[in-house]
This record gives sequence, C-alpha cells and structure tokens, in this order.
Amino acid sequence: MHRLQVTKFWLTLYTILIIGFLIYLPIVLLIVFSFNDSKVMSLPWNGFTLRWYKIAFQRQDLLEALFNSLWVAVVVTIVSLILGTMAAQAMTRYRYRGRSIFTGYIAIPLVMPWLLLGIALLLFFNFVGIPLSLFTVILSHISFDVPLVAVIVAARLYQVDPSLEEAARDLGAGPIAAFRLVTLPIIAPALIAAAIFAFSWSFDAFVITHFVIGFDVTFPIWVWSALKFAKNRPIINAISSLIIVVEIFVIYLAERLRRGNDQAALF
Amino acid sequence: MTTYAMNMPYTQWRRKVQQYLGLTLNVFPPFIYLLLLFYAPMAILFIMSFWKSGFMSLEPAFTLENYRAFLSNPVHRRILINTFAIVTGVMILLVVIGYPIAYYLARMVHTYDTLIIFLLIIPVEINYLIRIYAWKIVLGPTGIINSFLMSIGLIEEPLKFLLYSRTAVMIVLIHEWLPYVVIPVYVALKGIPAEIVEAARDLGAGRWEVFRHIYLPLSLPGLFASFVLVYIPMLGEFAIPSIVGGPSGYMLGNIIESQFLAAGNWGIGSAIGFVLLFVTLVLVALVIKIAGLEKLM
Repeated sequence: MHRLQVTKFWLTLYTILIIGFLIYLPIVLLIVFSFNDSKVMSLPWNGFTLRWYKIAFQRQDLLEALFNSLWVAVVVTIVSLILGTMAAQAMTRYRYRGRSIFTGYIAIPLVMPWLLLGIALLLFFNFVGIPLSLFTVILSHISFDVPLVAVIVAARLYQVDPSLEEAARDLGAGPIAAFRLVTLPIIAPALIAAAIFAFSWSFDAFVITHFVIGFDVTFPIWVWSALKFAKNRPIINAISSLIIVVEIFVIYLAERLRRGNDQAALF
Repeated sequence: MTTYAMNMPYTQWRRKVQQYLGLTLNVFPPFIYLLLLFYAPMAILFIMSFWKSGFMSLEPAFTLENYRAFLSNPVHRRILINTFAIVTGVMILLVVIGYPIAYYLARMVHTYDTLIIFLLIIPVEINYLIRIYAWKIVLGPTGIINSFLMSIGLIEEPLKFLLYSRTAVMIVLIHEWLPYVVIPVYVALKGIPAEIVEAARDLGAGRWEVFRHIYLPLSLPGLFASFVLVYIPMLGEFAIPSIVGGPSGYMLGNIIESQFLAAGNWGIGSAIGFVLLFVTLVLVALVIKIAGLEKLM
C-alpha cells in the first residue's frame, strides 16, 4: 500500500510538470506578455499596459481577416452539419452491405495530412478552373469538417435505441416527423458540440487555407504573414490572447455538451 | 382486427421503401461531396505527379521526371531522411512521455481524470499558429529559459540550439501532439476491468507482469489509434519547422510548400506529395490490418 502511494505521488508530480511545462507554459506566457509594456516579448517586465490591445483593434487588415474567418466558418459549419449528420445517419441507422466501407470512406479525410489535401485541392481548383478565393476556402473546409461532424454525431447515434424511432413510426409518425420529434432531441447536444468543433476547425484552419486562398486573407493567414515582421509581435500577442480566452470558453461549452453521459468517445 | 391484419403487408412494404429512400438520401450528398472535393483532388494529385512541370502549371504527359528530380537531389534526400528521423523520434518520445500520464489518469485517479483530460483537450483547439509562435517566448535567445539560466549564472550566453533548430521542432511537435497520444491510451486503459488486474495479482503476478500481460496488450488499440492520429499528420508538417525550425529542422512539408507557393515547380511538389500519400496509405492499411477498423473508431 505504501509503495503504491509513493508511485502515485511521483506520477502526480510528473503529470503536473509535463502538462504545465510542455502544454501550458507557452500559452500562459503569451497571455502574460501581451500586457507587457515593451516591444520585445521577453523579460524584464516593463509594466502593465493595454496599449497593444488598442493598437490591434485599430488594424483594419486584422479586423477584415477576423471578419472573413468568421463568416467562412459560419457557412462551413452550416453545410458540414447537414452533410455530416446525413453521413452519420447512413453510418448508424441502416443495415446494408458496404456500411463499413462507407464509414471508412467518410473517416479517411480525418487522417490525411492537411498539407496533402491542401496541395491536392490547389491542383484540383486549378484544373477545373475555379479561381482561388474565400469561396474555394469554404469548399475546402467543408471537406474536412463533414467527416468531423459525422464522427461526433455517429458516436451519439450509436447509443440511441433505434426502436424509439420505430415506436414513433408505429404510432403513426412519418419518417421525417419521427426524426424531428424523437431522434433530433436526443442527438441535439452532439449536434451543437459538432457545430462548435466544426466552427473552430474552420476558424483555425491554416495549412489547407494557405494553399487555396489566393489573395484573400483569413485570421490564420494574417497571423502567418504578420509573424514575418518583428514589429507586429506585440499585436499578435494581444489578439491571440483574446482569441485564446474566447476559444477556451467555447471548448468548455462544447465538451460539456458532447460528453453528455459518456466519456469514451473519439474527440 | 381484420383491417389491421390486411394493412400489415402494405405498411411493411411502405416502410421498406422509405428505408431505402432514407438510406439513399443520407448516403449520396456526403458521398458525392467527398468524391468531388476529397477523392478527386487526391486522384488528380496522383495523376499530375506524372505530368510535365511548367512554372506554376502542369502539362499532360507521362513522365517519371518529377520523381527522378526529387530522388536525385541530395538535399531533398537528406530532408526526406531527416523528416522520418524527426517524426519517428518524436513518436517514440510521445509514447514514453504520454503513456505514464495515460496510465496515471486511467488507473490511479478517480475524480480528477476527466478534468485533466479536459485540460489536455483545450490547447488542441487553440489556434495552431499562435501556439507555435508562443514557443518563441520560451525558447528564444531572450526567452524564459535563457533568461532564467543566465540570471542564476548557469550560462553566460543564451543557448543557441533552443530555437531555430531540430530540438525546437521536436519540442513543439511534442507539445502539439501529446494529447492525441494520451487520450486514446487513456480510453483503452480505462476500459480494463479491475477484476482482471485483481485476479492476476491474486495469482501472484508482480507489477511488471501485470503491465506486460494485461495493461500493455489491452492498450495496444489505443496506441495504434494514436499512431494513425499522430505519426501520419506529423509527416506533413511545415508550419512548425518554418516558424521554429531553421535549416537543421527543415522537413519534407517545407519542400512541398515551397515548390507549390514559391518555386512554382508543381511537378516535383506533387511527386513528393504522392510519396507522402503513399506512405500514409500504407501505414493506415497496416494499422487497420493489425488493429481492425472498429477499434479505431
């Protein structure tokens, strides 16, 4: 018993140190230094300021990039939610030959390196003659958000007893009414969680966007080009810190909804 | 009564038709979307890797020139080897660092494990570029580590190898992917019933034997899942080496990116891309063969 306690103590310390230093240290420092009254992000501490936040909000290019990212993510989320839920239904609600092939077909984009999808889509748009713009960005984001939504919603649908919907049908509900009145309320938390994850994947997507955006700018693309100039760093710190805080809040919400009763779903 | 019995076959028939209709309506939209905007582009990437390369364009042809140009370039070959070395090294480090955490969370903590898992998920959803960039504050010449070591007098000049190096790339890769290793292994370990472990203990198994014969084999599906989730995406990394890498941290992804967006040689870019795609498919097939598709979902 005593030995077990000792092991537990060391493993607790180890876990705290690894998560603290390898995962959180840079994020926390970024937020702290966004309030530092200095142009370089390093010690010494020169005093507290909100100056960088003020300057960030005066940058027209940054605001435009944020706005572009927001509306791209909204469109992507809506379309992905519809297509992804359809895929999830086909993965879980029907028995047919080729169901596991269909599941693989939907899930494979999730393990493909994004760089490859990026260059493949660039070649594709070039080949079929669609000029690169925010529109091609939307088309591209949907192709990785549909699998994401499908996997999250399917994980929930697996747990829903199909006889519930059948009971509704026996009582006279049509297929659409049965879905709307029985299945939809049960999977609603998963749908909201899927929407939040799909939104944040699209909002944060850099690698694919980098190849298919042409001359437009989204927030990650703005960060990528702003990183090249040292004078932008305090502004990147400030806007990043704000976005981190918003993202943490939103993920907390999504996780609460997604988990529901189970914890062992794929994230 | 009679009406009900007579209606049965018709209702059943109608349900059957609605089932097929519903299935078709659910299968086809996502099927066609991914066909057009995922599978077709991937096929085009493959086909065009044999085309003749112009500047920022490709002409139909069948040539192995792009592959030859890639493999005969010593710099490219070195980076190819470098990439696999970095990614394999990081994968091993991830398992070594992550497994104890997963074990701790799954088998030794009872109330706080979901909270800690949540703490691991948060950073994954924080903007990727921001997190890479944030490492400069830690590793840079005037960063936290160097300032600290200099202030306590351990070093006189900043450690140069911390930033713009292979070490930096590896540290940031570990930061990026650790949650994807810990969580699947945690889920696998959490699912092992306590009775099995107790039975083994009662039969005289020591801690090493319990690990060797119970925990390790039963957590293998989790390890396979993390391999697919981590090793393959890492092969295509280019943002991390561009931001913190410097020349010694250069990876395959950087060549592909520069061929497509700067050098304009789409042929070589596609050829390297297809090599990467091929490796990806082989690895996925291998893992599915060993572990089974269902276990990965």
